[in-house]
Amino acid sequence: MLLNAKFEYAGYGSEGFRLVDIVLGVDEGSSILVVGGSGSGKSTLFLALTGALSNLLNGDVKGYSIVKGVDLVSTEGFTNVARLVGIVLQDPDKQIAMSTPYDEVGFTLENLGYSEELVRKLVVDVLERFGLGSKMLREVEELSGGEKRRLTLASAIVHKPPLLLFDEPTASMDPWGISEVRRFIIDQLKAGRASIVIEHKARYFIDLVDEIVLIDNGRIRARRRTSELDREFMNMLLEHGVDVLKPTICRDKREHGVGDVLLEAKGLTVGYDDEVVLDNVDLEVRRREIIVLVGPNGSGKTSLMKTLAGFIKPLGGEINSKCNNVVYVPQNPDYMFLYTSVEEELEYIKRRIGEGFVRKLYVEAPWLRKVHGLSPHKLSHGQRRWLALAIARGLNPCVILLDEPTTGLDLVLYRHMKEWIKTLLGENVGIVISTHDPRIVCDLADRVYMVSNRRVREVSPKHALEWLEAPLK
Amino acid sequence: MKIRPSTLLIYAVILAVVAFMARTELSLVVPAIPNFVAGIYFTLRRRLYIVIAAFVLAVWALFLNALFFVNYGEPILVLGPLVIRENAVKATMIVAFRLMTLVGPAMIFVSNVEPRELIKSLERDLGLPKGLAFSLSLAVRLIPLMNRDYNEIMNIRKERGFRRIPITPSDIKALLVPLVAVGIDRAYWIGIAAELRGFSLRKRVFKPSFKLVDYIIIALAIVQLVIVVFITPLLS
Amino acid sequence: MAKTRMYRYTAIDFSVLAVVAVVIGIVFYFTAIPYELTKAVAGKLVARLGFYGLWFIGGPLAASLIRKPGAAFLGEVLAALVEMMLPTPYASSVLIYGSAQGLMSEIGYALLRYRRWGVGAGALAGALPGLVIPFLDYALWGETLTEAIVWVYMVATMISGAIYGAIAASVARALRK
Repeated sequence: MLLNAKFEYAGYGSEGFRLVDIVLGVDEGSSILVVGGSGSGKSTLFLALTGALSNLLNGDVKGYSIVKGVDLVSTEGFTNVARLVGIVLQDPDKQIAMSTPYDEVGFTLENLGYSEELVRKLVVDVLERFGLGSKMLREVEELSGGEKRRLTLASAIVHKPPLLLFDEPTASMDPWGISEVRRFIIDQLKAGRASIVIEHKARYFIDLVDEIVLIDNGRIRARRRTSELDREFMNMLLEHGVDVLKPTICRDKREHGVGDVLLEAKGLTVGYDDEVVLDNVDLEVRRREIIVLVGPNGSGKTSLMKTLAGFIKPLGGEINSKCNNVVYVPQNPDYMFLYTSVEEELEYIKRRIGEGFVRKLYVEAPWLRKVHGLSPHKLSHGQRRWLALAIARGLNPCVILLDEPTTGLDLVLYRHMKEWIKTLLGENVGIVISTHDPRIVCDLADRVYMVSNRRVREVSPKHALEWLEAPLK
Repeated sequence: MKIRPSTLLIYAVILAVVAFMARTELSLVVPAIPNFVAGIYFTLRRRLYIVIAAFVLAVWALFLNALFFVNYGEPILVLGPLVIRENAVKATMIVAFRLMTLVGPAMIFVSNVEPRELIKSLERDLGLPKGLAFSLSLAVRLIPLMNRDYNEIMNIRKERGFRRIPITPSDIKALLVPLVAVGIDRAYWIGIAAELRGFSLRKRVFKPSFKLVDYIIIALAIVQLVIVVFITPLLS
Repeated sequence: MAKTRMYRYTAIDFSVLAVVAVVIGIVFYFTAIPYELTKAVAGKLVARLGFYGLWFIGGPLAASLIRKPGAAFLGEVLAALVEMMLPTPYASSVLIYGSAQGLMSEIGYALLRYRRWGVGAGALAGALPGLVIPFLDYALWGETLTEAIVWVYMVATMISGAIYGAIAASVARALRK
């Protein structure tokens, strides 16, 4: 067996153990998919398997994680981790440490003591293979989201480790990026390299792996060879917030009456001083209506929203607004929080819109009382998304612009988000959502605009869904 | 004839020490004039006007300051009620010389050194420890990312009715909170990734490759230091 | 064993140092305008009281996030290096000011035997750099200043430093992983 891991317990002693009785094994050249909802212990498992938890983060681990005879949990074993394991993390911006692709890929090789000539040869070679040859010495920040992802993939295998570990590799990716990650895993399996993929979007990987392991609340709840999958197991995954189904049914009737036009763009040109991002945009948002903007990363969805919100000056055309409060909620909710405690944020909302609304918030989210003194940044992912929305609602908006509101949400949290968005409709606002999440298109969209090739045009939800699913065929 | 970036940094630091230590006009003329001229000569054209404007403004502020605090001695110029006296002019001049000594080498440094090359040179030529080299490289990577964070936060401030430019301590705290929160979350994962990619095995690469021109430049800085600190005080 | 582990820097610590350096770079870059404006409108004393302490927060911010010896010094010095690369009008003098300020903040934490990293410690580490400022200022601008005003500036600087040091430490306390 290539990897043989067993944890009696793992975590931080003071907080109670996050993982209990975990047994995992991967054979040479095979692959497993570890799934579980938010807070199930997936991240802790990644840290425990690599030895980072015991050696780097002062965690308490009883057990072992043996790769090719080396126990990564032990101090001596951990020094070998780079040789044995290649890693790919959630967000390329939270992994890439060097300012050029060349230095980033070379970093591992330099650490492992490769000679300068060999580093150069291997780095150039792998970057060419990943289509980054011409951008070798560019600044990483000039790369697109997909290119950054490719850079992390190239870095993971440049030193030819026997095992690859992926921690939610699709979290920040659009369907085109996800398909690249899939292709990469297929190639690596062909080359005889073993993989462990930790994800909650199981549907992108089920057909690639040999075994699926479901963890819940820090324990292994179920495991199944993919050759023996059945309905019962799939239902169990769904119950635990794991996404296994393709979105298929698109709602075609709206249950709510749409009101008057709140925001209208006519012949709008979106861009910056030196570059036009979108040209000749016509768009309308009505009261109690959900508009969904779909398109690949970097197509200009965010720029369009920021222009509608008034953060970017339009280069041409006009925006007519029937109300003066268009509120933008960024993809990363952490930008919304400007105070050091939840209490101060609620205090702010009270000042803006009054006591009554805050009382309503407490009813919606009874957990608020328990986290009063915490920094908003220390809340769970779902709680942070909710609080960011609550702050936006506190600004008394007529139109709310949500930028990728479902990034990184498992099925359970996604359903919550859906409810929250419906609550917003009840408050008589118009909603614009930018996304490449096919779930939203089906579940929420009243109308869909497709953003690509500098153009924005209205399409049917069905068409948009097919377009988003196409790269994954 | 490529000068090592470390050489230019050493030169700038030694001349900063010179500026801080020099006490007489005479001793400051020696480094101030040639360094300032060289600085202007080597500054990129697009930056030149800004640098000169900033310098002129700084000298003007100095002069006002001197008029307010140390305006005594023989009158030099009488403008109605305002009498400009010898000491104010002399003080302004000497501090301006000091600024020229500081700014000249710094302009040469900034205009000719790429951050990436500087870090590599600090590592190889001066034996900068690997951890600090990593911090500096990462800082270069983070500057555009965190600049983006800053812009996002400014948008939110505007939306939430905060002042655009923070001017009170609590304002600055409200800017620091999201900037640091997003930053250390990133740092945490980048740090873990770096360790998992063998950071602890990394060896210091100390292989100085200074050429003759580097030694000449450093010698030049030391000569100026010796003249200013040891020789000119003897003359006066 | 436990002790060496506590004092050894990991890549996570070095990453936090980098973040602190860039945060400070950005804050300096954008508060230079209000600082200079305040100086022009209300005078140097008010400007020092209101803003000068910001120049010192690299030390307390890095130290209270990392909680290891050396962090205060490194935080401030790296911030100065980043500032020099940005660049700012204060040129290479930032390296000398930065090193001296970082050293003073470090002394603050050393005086507390590296056992206290809270808001009080942050205030101390923010105030101490104020002590060396008069000497550096006098070396650089001395001829245009009188001795008395240098001491007044020092007090203003230390108050400002204590306020911002405390703020930096309280931000770190709320956000530390």
